[in-house]
Amino acid sequence: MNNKDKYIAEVEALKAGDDLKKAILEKADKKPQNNSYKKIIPLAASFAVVILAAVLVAVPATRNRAALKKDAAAVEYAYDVKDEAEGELYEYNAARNEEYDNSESGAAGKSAESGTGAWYVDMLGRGLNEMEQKAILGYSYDSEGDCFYTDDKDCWQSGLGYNEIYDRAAGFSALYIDKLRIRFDYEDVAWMIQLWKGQYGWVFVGGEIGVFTNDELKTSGIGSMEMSKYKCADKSDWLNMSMDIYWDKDNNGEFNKILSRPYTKYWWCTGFKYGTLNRFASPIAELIMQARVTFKSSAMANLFTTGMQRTGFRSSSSAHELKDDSVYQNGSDVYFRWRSVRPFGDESSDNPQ
Amino acid sequence: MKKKLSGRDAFDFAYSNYTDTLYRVAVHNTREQSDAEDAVQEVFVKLLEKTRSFKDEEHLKAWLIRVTINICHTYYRQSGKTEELPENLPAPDMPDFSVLDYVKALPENYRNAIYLHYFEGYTAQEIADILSSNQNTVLSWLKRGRELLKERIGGFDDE
Repeated sequence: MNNKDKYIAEVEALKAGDDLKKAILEKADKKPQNNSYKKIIPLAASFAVVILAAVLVAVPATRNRAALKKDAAAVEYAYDVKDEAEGELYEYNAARNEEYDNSESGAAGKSAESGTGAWYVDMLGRGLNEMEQKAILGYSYDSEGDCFYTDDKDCWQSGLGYNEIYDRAAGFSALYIDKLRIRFDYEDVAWMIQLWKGQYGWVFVGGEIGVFTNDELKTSGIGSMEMSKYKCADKSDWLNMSMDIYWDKDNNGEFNKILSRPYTKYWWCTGFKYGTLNRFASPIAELIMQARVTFKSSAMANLFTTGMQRTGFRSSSSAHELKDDSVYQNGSDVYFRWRSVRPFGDESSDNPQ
Repeated sequence: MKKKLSGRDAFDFAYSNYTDTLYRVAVHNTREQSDAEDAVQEVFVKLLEKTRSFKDEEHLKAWLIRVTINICHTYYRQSGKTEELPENLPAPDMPDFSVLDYVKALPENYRNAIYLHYFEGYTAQEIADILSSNQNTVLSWLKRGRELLKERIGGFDDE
């Protein structure tokens, strides 16, 4: 018997014991099916200690420990997401390999050792690509809202201007996002409130509200289109806001809230949830962003509301009964519900200069 | 005939057909039997939590193997897993010499490729799909694994 046969005999003898099988069934009986990821994390509480240590090694030393604690849950979630994505990719690769094996070139290229053709797909990045994994490592997980978000208070993005943030977003392997920009001048500062919603990478849907200012230029008209001049709002200019994202996931006209970000001060309010859109073409009407933004004054809120109306939003008579693509102002508070308005139809007009 | 599997059906099928396989995968990727058993339990829990369906039994099996390896990997990620040959391995000419122990002492990708190819019968491309690599890399792992085993125990796949 050669060593290979000996190895096979040894492995054959390895069998799951009765105790293990019993333990699996006991866990299955206690475990409700199809739990959300929200429920995995408490179950893996002890497991998260191991993950936290891994994060301590993996992330740059500049990150502080408080942020790392939040990352532990995110990393755990990221691995689950990665497993899901790899499942999809396995399916995709298997189908492509089957096609290839059935083709002439596939038959000719079959290797004697592998017994299959050389068709190999890596275009999807095999689940999360490196950039996406890094992105996830830089984000936090909100177990209450069951979503990812950027931590406005100490996240690495806060030191960046508009162009750099745009580049960050472009790091995702696939982006199908509707964008809306409202610019106005207020107290000698050009303000830009930008909204995004759509597909981030292959695995997340969600939305963002960013607050950018430009105090280098006193612009004529409303703001400046020179995007490089806009910077993330200073802390004194952060705005209180909240954001909910609704999704018609089953494409049947029924929108359900998939994530919610609490009302507090942000320069960048974000929320992302695992999922894939049914339709990538703009307008991404299967996602709705509903938000409340509190400006520094009624006058400032009025400028923003006017901007929203100019882009196509209708006026609403109530904050509680917002129709799709409508806006309601109450003093310094502005409430809006964004579904299909898409003023930046020409992509080039939205790219940083 | 291919059958789509999800939820409890997927669990029942996996439990009936793949428990031993997953245990063997876990044994190849853990140092202690208790770790292997914990990993197998954990992968079944993950299966119950999974909301998506599997295309067929092979898709399910590949996913389970992949997740099992990932789980085992996290057990040792903290301590910085080494790929060194354990000191207490018996000499190849001793009566209690175990080839499995020498396979387990190979670097992670080598031993998983060896197991999946020689025991489970997967092709290099199929292993590449499971281990998120490509066919040529897997062929290289198999070749290098065989070479290391030849150095250490005098041969493996002796044709």
